[in-house]
Amino acid sequence: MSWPMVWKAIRDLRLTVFWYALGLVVYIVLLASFYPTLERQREEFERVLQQYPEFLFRVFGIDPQHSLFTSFAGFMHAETFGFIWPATALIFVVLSGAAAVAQEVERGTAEFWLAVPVSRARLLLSKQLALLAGILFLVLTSALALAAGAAAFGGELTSRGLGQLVLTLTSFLIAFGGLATLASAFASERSKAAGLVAGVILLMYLAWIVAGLSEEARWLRYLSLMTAYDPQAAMLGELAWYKPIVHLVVGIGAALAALVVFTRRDIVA
Amino acid sequence: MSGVPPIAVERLTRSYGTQRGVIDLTFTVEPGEIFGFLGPNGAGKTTTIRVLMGFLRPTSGSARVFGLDCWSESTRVKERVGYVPGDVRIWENMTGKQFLEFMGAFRASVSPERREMLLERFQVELDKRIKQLSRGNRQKLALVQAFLHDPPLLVLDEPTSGLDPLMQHEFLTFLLEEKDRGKTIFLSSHQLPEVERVADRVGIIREGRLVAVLTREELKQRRTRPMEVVFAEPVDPTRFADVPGVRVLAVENGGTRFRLGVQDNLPALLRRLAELPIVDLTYAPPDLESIFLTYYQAERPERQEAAS
Repeated sequence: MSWPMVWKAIRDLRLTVFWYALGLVVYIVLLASFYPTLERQREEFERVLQQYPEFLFRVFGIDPQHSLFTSFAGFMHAETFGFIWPATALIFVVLSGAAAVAQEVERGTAEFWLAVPVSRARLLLSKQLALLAGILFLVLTSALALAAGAAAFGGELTSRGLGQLVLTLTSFLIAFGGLATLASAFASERSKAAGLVAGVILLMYLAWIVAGLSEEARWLRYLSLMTAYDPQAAMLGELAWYKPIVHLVVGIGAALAALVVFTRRDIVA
Repeated sequence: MSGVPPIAVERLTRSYGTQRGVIDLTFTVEPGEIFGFLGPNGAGKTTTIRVLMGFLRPTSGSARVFGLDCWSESTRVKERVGYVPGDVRIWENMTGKQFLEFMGAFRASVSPERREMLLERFQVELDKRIKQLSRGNRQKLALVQAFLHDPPLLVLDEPTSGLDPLMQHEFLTFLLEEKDRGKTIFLSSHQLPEVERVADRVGIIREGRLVAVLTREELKQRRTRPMEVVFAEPVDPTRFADVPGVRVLAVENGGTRFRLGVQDNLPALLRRLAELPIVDLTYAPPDLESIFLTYYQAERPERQEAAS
């Protein structure tokens, strides 16, 4: 990699990642503060929620078989890590990853970017490392906020659960970050790269929902990276290890493919 | 690297699908020379430069810089090259200072004395963000970064665009000084006067093909300067037939307005004009079209002969 390039890419991302992280931290702490109230009225909430259709739970990443308010993990999963957190973090990761190559080409800055005596692979790898640093910052600040929320509002969260959550969130974002840089390596416009990955995410999301609702369509879950995203099990310290591995394999594989594509493509700014 | 030409392009073709890029280019740039690469917009100058810089892969043929393949060894090529793109777009959130520091960070050595000299010479604004800079000031930043690490070869794509006339003059003077220091310069331009001023040899490209490679003297012999003359009363065009180096390009307003193509023999023309009822005269700098015209005229009789 090239350190000047890594630092520049981190500098370019720093404000964006800061605001995303701050927003998620505030949201997590706010939601955690509701936990004691909801815990006191658990049975009433459970009764109300049982009236909702299963589809509604699936849309927000909640397995209706699991009781929502039996644990802090279940509550935070339903309210944050099941839908809001991944949706928000994915916007950051997809937009930042899609910018890696395509934005340099689109804005015409690729001519200076590529004029330096560093191989294309190292240049893009430097940007991927900066994106990884952004992902880690986002995940770690959220994890710290969750730990603080649990401590302050009486939630049960073990260090094992927190560690597994960090692994789950990081590997999940790496998977889509890798795909976003791969799309960017092909594209000459950031919006096209981001749009392509957003489309893939939407299809995976729909496949995952349908797979949860219909026994005949259960095979669809193998087409979706959402299937391997299980923050609730992670917070409970019961994460199946193959799940983050699937995400890491996809993410790292896509990132390596992006290096190959970028090394071979023509650049016409 | 001694004996290896700074640039060697052989039968280079680069096409964009059905669109033309460059076709079958062959030329060599010798050490220590300024090689002008002259052609109208869209002729293929930037495509050639992008192949040299390793941004584009040749469709066929080869491009080498100091003997290194421009595609497969582009990283090593860039160690030896200072580059100014044709359309200068810099990261807008950086300041000028940050940009120069960033570009310099990839280079083995940047002499503080050289940096100071370049900044002073080109009067670069360092503290403003790039997005606040005028086009000319961005261009000056691009020029400074290209020369900063003192590379043996400069590849400059329309480097004077956006510069004011004084700075253009200063830059061309600087190019001649760099040449005297042994630097090789590949200068792409569509401005005939600036190429004519500094280049030792000139490659002329048109519609993707290299039309000719000429020395500066050969270029001067081939080009003409356009002159527009207005007379008080109609003048017979044959009055210019016996003036050497003058061609009548057009006669307008019933024979009172003439457009002439003038080579270097100005005294003979002025003597003839003094005999005529002249009211006004405009003498423009040489233009690129006049060179192409000489090639069309050379080609036309050949074609006619071949047809008959």
